[in-house]
Amino acid sequence: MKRILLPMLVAATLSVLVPAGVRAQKISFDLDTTTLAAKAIETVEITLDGELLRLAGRFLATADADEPELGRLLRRLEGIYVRSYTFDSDGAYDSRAIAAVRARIGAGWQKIVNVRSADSDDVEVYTKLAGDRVEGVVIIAAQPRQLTFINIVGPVDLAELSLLEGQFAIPRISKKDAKEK
Amino acid sequence: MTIERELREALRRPEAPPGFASRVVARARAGERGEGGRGRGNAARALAAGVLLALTLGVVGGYRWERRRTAERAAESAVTALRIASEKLNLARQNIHNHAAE
Repeated sequence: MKRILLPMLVAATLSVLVPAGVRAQKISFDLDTTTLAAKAIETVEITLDGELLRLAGRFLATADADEPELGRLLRRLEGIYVRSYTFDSDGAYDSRAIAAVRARIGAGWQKIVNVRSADSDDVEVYTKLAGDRVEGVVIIAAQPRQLTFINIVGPVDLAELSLLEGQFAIPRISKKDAKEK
Repeated sequence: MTIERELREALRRPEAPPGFASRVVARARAGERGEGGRGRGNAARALAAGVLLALTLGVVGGYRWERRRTAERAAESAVTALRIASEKLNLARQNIHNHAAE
C-alpha cells in the first residue's frame, strides 16, 4: 500500500509546486506606470501569457508566418512581460521605479549581469534557475533616455535570445548600429 | 346472333354518371392547388436551410478571422518583446566586451 501511496503523494505535491514555481518567476510590474508613461514619448507595454502566448507561438510556427523557430521558442514560455519607456531628454524618469522593481525580485533569483557603463547604459540581468536550467529572466535596462523592464517566465536560453536580434522579423538595432544611423 | 349482341353489350362505352366530369375537373384543380402549396413550402424550407448555412458559415468564418487577427497581434507583440529583450541582452554583452577590451 505504501508503495502506491508514496508516488501518488509525490506526484500530487509536485503538481501543486510546479504552478507555484511558475508564479514565483513572475515579477509584478504594477508600478506607477502612469507617471512614467505620461513623461514618455514612446511607451511599450506588453503582457503576453496563457492562451494568447500559445496562440502567438502557434501562429508563428505556421507555414505562412514562416518563423517556426520563433514559434517553438514562444511555445516553451509561460509569459513575457515588457515595460519600456522612451523619453525625449536625459534622466527624465524617476530612478525610484528601478528600486521598486528590484525590490520585487525575491529570493531564488540570481543577478548574473550588472553593467554600469560610462554612457550610463546600465543593465542588470537576473535569472531564476531550476537545476541547471534557466526558468525565468528579469532584465532591467536603464539608459539615459530609456527605461526598460523585462520578465520572461519559462525555460529560456539567454544565448538563443540574444541571437534573435537581427533574425526573423527582429531588426538589429543594437547600440553600435543605432550610433551609425 | 346472341354472341354478337353479347359482344356489343360488353364493348359498349358506359355513360359517365351525372356530374362526373365536373367532379374530375374540380378534383384536378384542387390537386394543382395542393402541389403549388407543397412547392412553395419546399422552397421556403430550402431558403431557410440556405440562410442557416450561410449564417453558420459566416459565424464560423468570423470567429476564425477574429482568432487569426488576435494571433497576428499576439505574434507581433511577442516579436517586439523578444526584440527588446534581445537588444538589452546585447547591450549588456557589448558593454561587458567594451569593458574587457579597455
